[in-house]
Amino acid sequence: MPFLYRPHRHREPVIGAPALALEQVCVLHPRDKQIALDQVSFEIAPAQRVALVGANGAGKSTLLKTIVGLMRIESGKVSIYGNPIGLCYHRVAYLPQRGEIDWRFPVSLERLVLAGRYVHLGWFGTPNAEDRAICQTVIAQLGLKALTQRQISQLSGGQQQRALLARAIVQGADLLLLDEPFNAVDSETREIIWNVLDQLQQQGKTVVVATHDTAQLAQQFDRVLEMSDGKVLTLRQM
Amino acid sequence: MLQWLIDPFQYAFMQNSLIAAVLVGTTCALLGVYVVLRRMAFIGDAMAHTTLPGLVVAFFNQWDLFWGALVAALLTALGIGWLTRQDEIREDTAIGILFTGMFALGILLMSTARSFRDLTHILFGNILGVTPTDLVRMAAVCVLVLLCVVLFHKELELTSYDPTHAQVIGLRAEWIRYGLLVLLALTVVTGIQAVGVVLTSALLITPAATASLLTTRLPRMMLIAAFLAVGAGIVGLYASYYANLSSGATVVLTCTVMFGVVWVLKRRKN
Repeated sequence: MPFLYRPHRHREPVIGAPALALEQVCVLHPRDKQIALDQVSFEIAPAQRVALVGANGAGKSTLLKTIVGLMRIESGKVSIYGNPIGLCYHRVAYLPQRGEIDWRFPVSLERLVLAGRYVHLGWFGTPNAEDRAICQTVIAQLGLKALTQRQISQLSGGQQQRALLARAIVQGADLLLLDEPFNAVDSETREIIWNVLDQLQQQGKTVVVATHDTAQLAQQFDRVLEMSDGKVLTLRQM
Repeated sequence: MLQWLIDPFQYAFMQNSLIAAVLVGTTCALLGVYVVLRRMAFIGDAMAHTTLPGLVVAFFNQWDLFWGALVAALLTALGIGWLTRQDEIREDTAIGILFTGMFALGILLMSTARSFRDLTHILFGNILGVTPTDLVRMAAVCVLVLLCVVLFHKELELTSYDPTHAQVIGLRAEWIRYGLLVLLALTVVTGIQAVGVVLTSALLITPAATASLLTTRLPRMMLIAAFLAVGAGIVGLYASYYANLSSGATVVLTCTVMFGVVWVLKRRKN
């Protein structure tokens, strides 16, 4: 039943292509057909850390969901390392907002993080020793080692956020899209996340972070994308 | 005591009933865990009721009731999936619409029959009356469900708690949902033979809900649910044999008592 997964074409990145490029992208809200993204265009070079800022409802989450293929594009084009969306699922990792997950489901933290490796396994594939070792390394890096077997509902908000980040990292993606990773987390988690983001940048990963926290934009990001009413207003170099 | 336990199973019909209890209990419990965890508890009841028009049409035409029920259940499963594919109609609303519509159609068709009496075994089931053909079907559905639950464990699990991530990695979450609905249709139809239209959802939900109180590990939850469902099935058989009680009602009441005991013990422990 190969149809359970969309075809994985492990296409190599186009040499010299930006990590992410949007050209005149328009997206409609699925329910009311109102414009959610309006003629959005920008480019992000590889290994950059970019903040996506704007008020609630500005279109930050919709933009990230569009890049990972969760929203239908009405017009325009999205390229990831020079390739269209969906030609290489493993190259893009997405950290959703915490509320999108059923935390009461009976899975352990380790199992949740392992789901980051599923994109490499396909149907019938089960995580092997190497997949587990990758997960254990990242779990330890995020300070969650003691909680590996804990059921996900028994984690605090900050621990859940770190678990989701761990899942995004173990995917081994080149482009990471993080939707509000600092939302309602304690200072310890905040510090751990910043350290991990620093390491990702050193490894040449491109990271886009939707955030409301504008206090550290200049220190922590290379560029800032400001959004309002589904449009990108500015793209500032920091 | 041993003689008391062995006595009923000297008869072939009781042996068939025992096999049916094991097969139906296992199938319902395995899938029931996903039904409970995905908050689809209403669907088991709804799907069982929506088989009524299929059963009545098959009964009138002297066709095999299994196929009448299966066609109606599959149409319902696909109808629910189709109505909710765009998120315009919520799943519980779609279930409510199809459930009541199909059940009303079944009642309408039943009202044209001269006697309701012949249809009572459809409503309340008769595990003591299972035939070897029924057993083969139950076994086939049980093996199919077991295979799917094992082979697609990670896909079923992921689409249950985080369908967004499933879509992001290219997994067709909607196909998994359709697959689950089709498996549910097959399971419900075999459950009807054992406990009838009215009580099938209890076999799906109650053992799984009881197991969810006892563990936070999914595979263990499935094992416990299967054990409880099979146990309840066997208790129902003894009750039928020795006390001449309705087997379907006894099976379901045993499940309910198990849930009540576990719930009370857990509350006291906490």
